Amino acid sequence: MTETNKRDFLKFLAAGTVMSSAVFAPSLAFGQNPAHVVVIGGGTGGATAAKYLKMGDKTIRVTIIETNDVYQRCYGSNEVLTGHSAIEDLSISYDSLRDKYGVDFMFDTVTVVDPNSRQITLETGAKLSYDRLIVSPGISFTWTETDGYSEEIANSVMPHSWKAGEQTLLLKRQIDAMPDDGTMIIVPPPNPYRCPPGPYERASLLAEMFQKEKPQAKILVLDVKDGFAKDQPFMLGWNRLYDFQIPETKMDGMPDDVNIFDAPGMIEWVPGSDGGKVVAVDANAMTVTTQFGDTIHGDVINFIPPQKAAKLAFDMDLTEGNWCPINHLTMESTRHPNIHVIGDSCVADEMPKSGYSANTQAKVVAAQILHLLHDQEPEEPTWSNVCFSRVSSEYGVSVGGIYRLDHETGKIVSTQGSGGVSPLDASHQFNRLEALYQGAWMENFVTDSFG
Amino acid sequence: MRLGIREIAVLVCLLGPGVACSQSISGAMLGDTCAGCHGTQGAAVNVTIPPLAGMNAEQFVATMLAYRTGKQSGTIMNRVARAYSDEEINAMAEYFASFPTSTSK
Repeated sequence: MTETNKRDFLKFLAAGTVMSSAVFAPSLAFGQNPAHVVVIGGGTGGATAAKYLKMGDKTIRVTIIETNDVYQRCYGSNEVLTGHSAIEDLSISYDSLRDKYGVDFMFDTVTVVDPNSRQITLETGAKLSYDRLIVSPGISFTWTETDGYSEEIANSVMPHSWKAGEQTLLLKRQIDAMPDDGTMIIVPPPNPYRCPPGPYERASLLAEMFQKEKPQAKILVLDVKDGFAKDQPFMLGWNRLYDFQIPETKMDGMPDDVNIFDAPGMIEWVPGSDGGKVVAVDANAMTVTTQFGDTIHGDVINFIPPQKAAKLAFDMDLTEGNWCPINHLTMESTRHPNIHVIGDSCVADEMPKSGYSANTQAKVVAAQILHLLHDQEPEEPTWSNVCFSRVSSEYGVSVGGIYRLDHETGKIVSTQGSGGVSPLDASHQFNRLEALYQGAWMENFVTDSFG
Repeated sequence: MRLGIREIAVLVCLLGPGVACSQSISGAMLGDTCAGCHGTQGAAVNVTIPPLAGMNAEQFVATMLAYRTGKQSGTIMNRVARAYSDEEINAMAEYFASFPTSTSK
């Protein structure tokens, strides 16, 4: 296809987007008042979108509707479990978005969104209308797939600690009270879910803590999956630090000097094909039962349930299956015009459900909405994801990806020949640096999204 | 129902962006994906990760090319740099060079 043809096709693409919603969405050219973009959800995706919209055009009105007046970030919450951070360290104020960028806030809960009149009704009875709506509502949990498990059990006996706050504190109290020779069971969820390396970083940092405080303790990871994000770099680190025996299936490309152990070390990982899938839990007996029929006792059971888009996304009829399908050029819902969905709840193909993904999706949606409001064509998008995890406080591993729109399929794809995980032949210095960068990333990332 | 070429093209596009039209990506669109680590418009607050704001464009290009070829070893940057064409690296260089350096802010 020639360059001219390509450009023409991009125009048609844009025309399609604009035409599908032109009836309902007046652009700036038609309106007397400044355009109003409403953002539902003040998490990483919503906050970043609001900030970048105002950075791009400070004359438009941007309002975030959010239930809580302080945000609690999930990233870094594993360090609260180990006592390296306090729960207060996870709190992020909205002051900068409001005072520095002029974002308006309504701390309220959405009850109804009417995509035809473009009007939102809130729990307090307040109403507001939008020209474009961004929905970044995060995840919700599926409570019903495992016998004996429920939301009540999660809130009392078997915390997931997969949304920061009270769940984090509940799990921390249980870990602190665990007997010195106790067993902690971690049950990671099936794909796809928020923060793919999270359960394994959790196992890592708790192992580091237990080495000092409860050296007889065990961490048993019962996994429905046969692999996970950064699994080889994690396992190599576990082998070096926590006497972890690397399974045969994960040995490909490992350095020659990996340790061989006769018995499991502090961390044991059971993949799905070896019976790792948990099919039932018993909150009274504090046991889990695997697909292969083994019933195992845990002193602490961190069951992380399967995930789906937030309830609001279902209420707003933005979902197909468990997640929200979107046009990836503009991040606009394929189900309702003028409503754009970003973050964990949207279908982003090869992108993981991470804070970093939400942050770059937010920048794409901000740029495209500004184009659409100014009657311009959307521009060619790109996204990225970078994630540093700590295998210990001084040993980091990372994954990175640069993503593009595949115009053949309309899907978001990773750029060929780039990205991927930390190399297995990395030096000691390399892993030290990645742990250091994790801390710097946290500060710069929070500031880019909220500050 | 008979559809004209334009309607068909629009329909195809509505069904999903199903056509090859790889356009060049702007320096801002590219550079903003770096901001999660290097700070908004390259103005990192924790400079353990190098700020990019106000970086000399030639230096930016030379560093990215060295990462891309492996002549310079980073941690994640070698994996990241391999994603970008010369044109894209130049666009990012111009974008970051257009901002004041972080310290002068």
